[in-house]
Amino acid sequence: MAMIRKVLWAILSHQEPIQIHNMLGYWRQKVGDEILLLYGGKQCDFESIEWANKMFIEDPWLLTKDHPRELQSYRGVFEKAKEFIEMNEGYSHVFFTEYDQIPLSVDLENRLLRQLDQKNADVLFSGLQRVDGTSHPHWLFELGRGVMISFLQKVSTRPRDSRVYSCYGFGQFWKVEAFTAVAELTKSPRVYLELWIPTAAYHLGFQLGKIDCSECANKPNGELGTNLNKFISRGEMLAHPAKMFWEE
Amino acid sequence: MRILTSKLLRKLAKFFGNRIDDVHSGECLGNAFIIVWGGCIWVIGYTGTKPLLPTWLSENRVSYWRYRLGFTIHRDIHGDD
Repeated sequence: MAMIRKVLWAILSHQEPIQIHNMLGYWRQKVGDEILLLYGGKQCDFESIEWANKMFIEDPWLLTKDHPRELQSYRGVFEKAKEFIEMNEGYSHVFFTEYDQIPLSVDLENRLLRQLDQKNADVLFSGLQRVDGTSHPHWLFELGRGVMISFLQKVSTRPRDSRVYSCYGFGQFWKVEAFTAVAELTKSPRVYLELWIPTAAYHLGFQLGKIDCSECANKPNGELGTNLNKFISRGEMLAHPAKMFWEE
Repeated sequence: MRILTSKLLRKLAKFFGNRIDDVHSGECLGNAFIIVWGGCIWVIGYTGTKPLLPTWLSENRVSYWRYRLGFTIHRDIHGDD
């Protein structure tokens, strides 16, 4: 019997209610109604957002300005998403992203599921790379602190393995078991999310993969603007970052 | 200020820095100034996007007076590679 697959689209935002309204309307056209808004903005704005599936994030580890140096973490974000998943059973997969990643394809769900199957992975990350032993700046900073690997070795299914991975915070496609396993590590030390999330998933025994999407449409920095037609005509499924997109 | 310095150093390295090739594949990874100072090798203004993995190069004959240190990148992504 074929397994029923149901994807939760979890989007993290801190923008104002009008932009949230635009964002949710656009996402609904692409993926349907199974959208969870994870809101890290002001409590009063959160109350005024008209969307049933919403969770308010109150976590000082999320609210950073210089994210890598201040060790921004999605611990509280994942914890809330896990709480929602437990309250609403039936999800088999979670797509987690940030507000400034734009879905471009109406076939996004099938394309992501196909990639996950083809790569035989438990989670697909944007910008995934192995960084231990390299010059990667986040890894070198963590090497000096030395807290991540010593913690992970206590819970790792691969205790003699000290691999460290890095990924972007946006565009992560998870099997729900992998997502909740990482979200359950609530007693974790504070480590920058781009290192913590993929490395924790790896050490918990999950198979990692990289999302196949064009790097020029999915960059960590910069601004793609509001006209994404060129990416749509190229058949891209996602675009990042387009922070101004919800202003219109 | 920090961002401006970083951009300037990368611009300079692009034109005047040392070219860094992957010692295994030959792929050009970027340019940087490579300076030895204070007992360390400093890589400054690296223009590439792939994190560098320093590696000692194998030699065809035993040598007691020279060793070569090169750069490569991790090629594995999947957990069980």
